[in-house]
Amino acid sequence: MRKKFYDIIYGIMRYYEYQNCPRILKAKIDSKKVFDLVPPTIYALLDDLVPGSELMEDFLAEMAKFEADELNYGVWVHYPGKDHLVRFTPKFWHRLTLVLRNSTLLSDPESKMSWKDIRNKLENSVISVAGCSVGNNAAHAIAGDIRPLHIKIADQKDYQIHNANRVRLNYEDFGRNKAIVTAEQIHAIDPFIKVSVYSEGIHEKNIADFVGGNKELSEPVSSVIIEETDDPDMKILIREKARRCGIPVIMVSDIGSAVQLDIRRFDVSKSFSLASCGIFDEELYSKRDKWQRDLANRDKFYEFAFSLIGRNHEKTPEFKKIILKEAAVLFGGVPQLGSTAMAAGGIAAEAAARLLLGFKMPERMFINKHTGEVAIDGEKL
Amino acid sequence: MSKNNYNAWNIEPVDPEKSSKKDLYLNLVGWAILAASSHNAQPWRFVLKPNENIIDICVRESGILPASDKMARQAYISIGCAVENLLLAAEYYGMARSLEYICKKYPEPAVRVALGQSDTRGHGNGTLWLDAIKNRRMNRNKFDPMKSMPRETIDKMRAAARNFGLVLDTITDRATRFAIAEVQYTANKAVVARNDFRRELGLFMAPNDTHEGRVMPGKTFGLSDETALKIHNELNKDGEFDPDLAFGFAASDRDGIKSSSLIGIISVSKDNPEFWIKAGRAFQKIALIAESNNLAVAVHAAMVEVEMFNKLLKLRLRRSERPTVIFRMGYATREAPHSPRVDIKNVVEYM
Repeated sequence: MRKKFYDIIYGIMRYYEYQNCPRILKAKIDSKKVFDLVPPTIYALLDDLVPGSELMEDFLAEMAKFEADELNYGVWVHYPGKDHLVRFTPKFWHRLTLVLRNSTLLSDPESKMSWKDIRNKLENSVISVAGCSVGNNAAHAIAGDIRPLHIKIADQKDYQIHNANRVRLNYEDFGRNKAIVTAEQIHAIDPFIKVSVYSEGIHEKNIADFVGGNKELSEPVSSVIIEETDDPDMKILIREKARRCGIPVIMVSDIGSAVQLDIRRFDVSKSFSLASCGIFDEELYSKRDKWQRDLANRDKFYEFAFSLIGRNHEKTPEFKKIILKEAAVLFGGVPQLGSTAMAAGGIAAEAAARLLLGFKMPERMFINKHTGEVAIDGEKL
Repeated sequence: MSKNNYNAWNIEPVDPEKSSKKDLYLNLVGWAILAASSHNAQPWRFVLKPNENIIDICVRESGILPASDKMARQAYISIGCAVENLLLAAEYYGMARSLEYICKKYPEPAVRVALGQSDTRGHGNGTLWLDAIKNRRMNRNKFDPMKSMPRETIDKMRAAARNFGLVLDTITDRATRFAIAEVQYTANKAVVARNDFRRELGLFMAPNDTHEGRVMPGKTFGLSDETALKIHNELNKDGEFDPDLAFGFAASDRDGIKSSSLIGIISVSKDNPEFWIKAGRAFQKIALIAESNNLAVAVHAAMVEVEMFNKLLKLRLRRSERPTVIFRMGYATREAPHSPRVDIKNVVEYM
């Protein structure tokens, strides 16, 4: 009975299996599945670092370690999905290579912070992205510009082929969960980022963890939330929770050839309304409820949507015509251009970085990449 | 050429019947010192022993560059270049000659050349090689990528390398040339990253109006007076090095290789001074073949001396031999000036 108990709790332990007993690898990895990123990382750093600078001196010392013991240098990472083995330089140097070309383009408002302090601030932020269509573009832009050590990504849906007009996908990704695919894409170039994957999307049971973290699960508090869901209830739920926790929410909307950026600075005040530019919560809830009682009514859906994002869509004639059914209806959903989705992702990342660095940002920014029109609404917070 | 530091290039052959042996030997050295050398450091010292019919060519310890030439490989290659010039000059005078590789440093010889009596009936090439020696210079400008090398010239170069028991890879295809160009670019970035390399280079990169003999004036890199001075000052200062200059340094070599009709890589089976000297001899001979065929040459040492990149090149060539001299060749789009030389009296002693 006692032996059975131990078998269950500790697994089957044979006498010749002791703690730290060596295990011979049974799996062989084909050399075609082994990738060495150490030399290209070294070449990139030699190319980019300034001779005579402190970073270059530190790097030359690091390079000497590589030259002294090439075979044992670096960090090996196994990607089980493709059974690939990849050698990276140690975390600091690999991630440095990935941000070096950003140079000092992201600074604080008074340009007082050193590059190191800025990197420290951005690295230790936690960016949470809900929704992986535009959100996928935002996640990549965030990884590129901010390169935090922790990102959260949420989406319950799978990628379909018609997502490929606005998300970088390949044949393996279709039919797979959007959050997982996005996480894999980020990890393919940076295994050192922790990615919390919410593959069930955001719902009542995990919203607290997504927004406010969970110490028991080592889930950190979000620093900034990028809200890109297409579920009205989720949009409201995320904002409500973020407001309670005092966390800013960024939303980018693609409106034809235009991008609209909406920022709710709940970190500045927990008494701000959920939507920007003067829309009170009561109106938002009311329009949401009206639509939910009549889900097939597209006009009511748009009324709710416009209460959240305003009416700048009227500045984009093609989009407006489709919404108002004044143009031929090619398909039954909300149209999205891939280029706009990409631009939106970039704008979201820029906004997130600027918030983290202490900039005041307008509540709403409208940028039309077709006409060049830019409009700013609301307060600068 | 009016300055003293260029007088060496005014050398002419002497009449052996009217010259003392001492003067004849000095004349041989005069041709030898026109050889190529890394950083134009001219690491040689010649010990003339006319009574023993010997000229010892030695490597000066101070001529070995500690930052860019840790193994003294480039110094011995440079010695090889000088030896080849000396032997070709001796051939002109019809002097029988034999060679012993001793491979030590001054005051011991790297190479001992034993010489016979001059006999002008013996030399069949006329002043071909002497003219080539006088006209040869390093041309670091871009070459004309549209002109390809004649097959027979390539064959002569390969034969020259084979004479020394060495391997010469000649790369003419665009894809490989471009790949090597990128390796050279990164190798240059690797060397210029180092403070000691930059400081050392700063000792040799001189303004265009320099009176020094053991330097590389900016004009030999195609630099204006202003830029040559700027680079000289930048290399000699402490702290950060202008990244634009670092880029320019690396990119100019890369673009030069891309523009060349041919990349030549002399590889050695043994990585030791004797083979380095042979590689130098082979290279000098090849450079003179090029000169006599109106072809320009430039050398690239970073890929040789930075181990990581040497291995990369070796892999690309699929060779077990070690790449030791890497040069590019082609038809010049701009002429290059000579480099200065120290006075021959400073590199010669008699015993």
